[in-house]
Formats: sequence, structure tokens, C-alpha cells
Amino acid sequence: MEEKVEKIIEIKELKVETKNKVILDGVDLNIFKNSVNTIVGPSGSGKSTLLRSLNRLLDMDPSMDVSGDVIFEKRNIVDIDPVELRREVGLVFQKPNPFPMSVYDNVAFGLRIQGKKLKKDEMDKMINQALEDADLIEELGGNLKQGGTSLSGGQQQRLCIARALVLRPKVLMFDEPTSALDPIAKGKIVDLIRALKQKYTVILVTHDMNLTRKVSDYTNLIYEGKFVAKGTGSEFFESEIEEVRDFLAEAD
Amino acid sequence: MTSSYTGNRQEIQWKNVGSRKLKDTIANGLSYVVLGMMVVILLSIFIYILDSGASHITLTMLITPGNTATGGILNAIVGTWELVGMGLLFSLPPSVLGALYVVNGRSNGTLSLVARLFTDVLTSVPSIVIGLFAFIVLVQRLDMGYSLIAGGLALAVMMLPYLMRIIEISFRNIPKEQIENAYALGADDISVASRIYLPQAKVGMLSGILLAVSIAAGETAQLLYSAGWNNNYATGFLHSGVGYLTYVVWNGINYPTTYSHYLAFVSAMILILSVTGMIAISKYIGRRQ
Repeated sequence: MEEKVEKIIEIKELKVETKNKVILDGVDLNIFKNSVNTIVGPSGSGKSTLLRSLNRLLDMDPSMDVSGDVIFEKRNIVDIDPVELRREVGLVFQKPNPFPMSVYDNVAFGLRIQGKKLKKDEMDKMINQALEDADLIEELGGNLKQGGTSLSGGQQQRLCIARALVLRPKVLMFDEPTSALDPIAKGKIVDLIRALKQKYTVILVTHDMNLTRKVSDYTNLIYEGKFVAKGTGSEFFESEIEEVRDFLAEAD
Repeated sequence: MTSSYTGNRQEIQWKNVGSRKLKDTIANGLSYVVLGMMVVILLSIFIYILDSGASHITLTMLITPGNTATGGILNAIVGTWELVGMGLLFSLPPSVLGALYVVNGRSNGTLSLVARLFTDVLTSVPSIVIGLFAFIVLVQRLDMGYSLIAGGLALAVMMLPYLMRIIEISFRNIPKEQIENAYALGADDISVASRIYLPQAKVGMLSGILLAVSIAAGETAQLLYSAGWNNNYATGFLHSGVGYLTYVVWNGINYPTTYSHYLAFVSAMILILSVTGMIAISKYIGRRQ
């Protein structure tokens, strides 16, 4: 299966360390296009750090020492302007965190900071499309002026997804997107992630095995800064690797 | 209310209710005593100043300049605001930039630590020392003379640490994830500062400004050495002394005429009222947010 699907990101020997701790210990991983690439693992295993190194958000933390290569569409990410890279590789955080402004302004944020002058109707169109893709437009009932922080938790999370989608990223990364949500809100995110992979490449970090079962095409288990298992979604759950069995037993 | 709940509901056994209630009462009582003491002290100052000022205030005092013994205090009122405005002009931009730097933590931390240490030390430098420094460096060496610029700079030195601290705190109140998310959406430092930090810290910054302004408006020592005094309005930014209200309070009381004492009390009243007004405004804005 791996041969048929195109790789969009290749991680090679990626090492992230602070002065007194190795967080990622020279990991290799391929991210496949138009698939849900899931990274599971216990807390503190380096999952979130891995995501933050893919869009160079780690650059902002001077205590993190990063080495190795990440190739995004044949280009090493260190040769890409971080601002450009972050538009192409979007990130949705664990806790929904809309900016304290209207729904419209929240989604418009990423467009406005580009400094490009967009016509009003063009901007409206893009924002409506993003909210539709994030499955939020109907629930809002056309009222985009309401405050982003007044929405429910699940709606806030989908607003944050819309905010990333409006930039038309190629890759969308989710850092435990459902852990702060109730079961119904969770279900909507599950459906959404399934729909999104038609247009985007999804990288999903989670320790929710239920979510993984439902959406994952490729599942990778990280443990203490190293991948101990990689494979397709179904292979993963049948795996005989000891760490996988242990992790699944713990998670369920 | 009827309930279908049929589980084993146990009565909760609270322990030591009596002694805990007693402790609570004592602590509450002490708080009220301290609060009462503060209110009494503040109110007596307030009433004394207002009574002594309000009973002698005349329109002429408020609309003519004077020399603290005769005439009015308009030159001192105008001069106070000119000096405070100048101080704000010199201290606000570095405070905002400094706070952004410290909060963003992009450096290895040493420089932030040094910046923090210096602002803390600055808070505790006696104002007369700042005044003396301003006199030697600004007034004499840089040949500014007693002037608005020298006075403004001397005030700015004192306003800066307060401003920077309060602005830093209001920046820190913004959730870290929000800042990170803005960067993740492709924002650069300038966009994050102008679209996240500054708009969200507006109220905090405003209350910081009002606090710094009220502290600066009540300063005397460093102005004696930097702004000097002027029986009339300052005629320029350099080489022209400036009048200010605290000087009228200080000099008017020393001067052996009843009228000069009236001038001193009226000045004190105006200072107290404007400071109280500013603090009230900042609280009001804070609550409305």
C-alpha cells in the first residue's frame, strides 16, 4: 500500500533535545498524502513536539535544539520561510482557543496578516467556504458577527479548524483535537476529519484509540521519543509488537 | 424536589465545624479592622484636603498663573500635565517594547532577567537621586537647562518600571496558546504584537498608564532639579522652567502668608481629585471589559 500513495512529508533522523532531555531521538516517518496519519503514544512521548517541529513552531523556543531533516514536498523545511511553511502546514491545538473577536474576524485573521489586499466579497467567499468545510456554517445560522469565544467548546474547535482551513493548507495537523470535548462534539470532529482527508493531508496526534480506530489510515506509535510501530490502521491494531499490545491494553 | 435517585446517600460528616467557624470569624474580623483603619486614614486626608482647599478656591486662582505666593496656579496645572505628558511620551514606547521582549521569551532568558532586575531596582531608586542625576546630566552636561524635556525625562525614568510591569502583566494574561496559534497561522512578530498583544492588553495598558500618570503627577523631588519652576508658562521645550502643582504645595506652605497656604491646599486638592478620578476611570473601564 505504501508504494501507491504519495509521500508529502519525509522526516529523517529528526532529533529534538533540550539541555537535559532528549525529546525526539532521531525519528524517521513518512506522511502520506490525502490520508489520516495518526501518531499515538503516551503523554510526554514527544507527539506534540513532533508536530511543532513540522511547522517550525519549535524555532521560537530557544531551549529546543533541533537537528535532522524534514522534507516537505521535496524541499527541506529549513529552506522555507517559516511564515509560508505555517500557512501550508496548519495546526489545530488541543484546547480550542478562538481569538476574542467575531467569528468572521477569527477566520479572517490568517488572511489579513498576509498583507494582501483582498476584495470584500472575495474575503467573504473564502471565509464562508472555510466555515462550510469546517461544518460550522449551518450552526451559526449566518451570524458571523457573534463573538468566537461565545460558541460552545465543539463549535470553538471547529472555528479553529476553519481558521486554519481558510489559508488552504496542504497539511492539517491536529494536536489531540477531541480531548477537551464532550462525546457529541467529539463525534462531529471525527466526521470532519474523515471529510477533510479528501482535500487535505491530515496528521493526527492523539491518545484516544477510539478516534484512531475510526479515522486513521496510518497509525504510528511513539514511545519515549522513538517510533516503535508504524503501519496502516488495521495492521496497527493487529500488531504483535509488545509495545503496541501494552499501549492498546493501557488505552482501552 | 422529588428525585428518582435511589442510591445510598450518606450524610456528610463535617469535622470540627465549631473551631473552623471560630477561625473564620476571627480572620474576617481582622480583615474588617484593617480595612476600617485604611478607610479612616484615607478619608481623613481626603476630607482635610478637600475642606481646606474647597473653602478657599476662587476662579481667579484657576485661570491665572502665579508664583505660589500671589496670583493663581494655572501655570502649575498646565505645567503638571505638560510634564506628565512628556514623561509618558518618553516612557510608554520603551515600556511596551520592553514588556513584549520579556514576555515573548525568545532570548535565552539572561537579557530578560537583566531587564527585569533593572526595572525592579529603578522602582526603588529615591526620586531625589533621579532628580540629582537629571540635574547633572540633562540640565548641566547636556545643557537642556530647567525644561520640559529634562523634567519629562526625569519623570519617565520613574514611570517606566511601573508601566513596564503592568503592561507585562496584562500581556501575560493573554493565553499562551492564543499567541502560539497566531504564529501557527503564519503571523510574524509584528502581527502578533499589533493584532494579539496590543488589542487584548488595551485595558491593562490603560490602567498602567493611568497609574503611572497619577504617580508622576504627585512627584516633586526629581522635578525640582529638572523642571525648575516658572512663574508663568513654559515658552519652549528647552531652557524654560516649568511650573507644577506639587511645587505650589511645597513652596506655598513654606511661605508665610495665608493666601499662599490657600494656594497650596487648592493645589493639593486638585492633585488628589485628578488622581482619584483617574483611578476611578481605570477601574470603570476595567469592569466594563
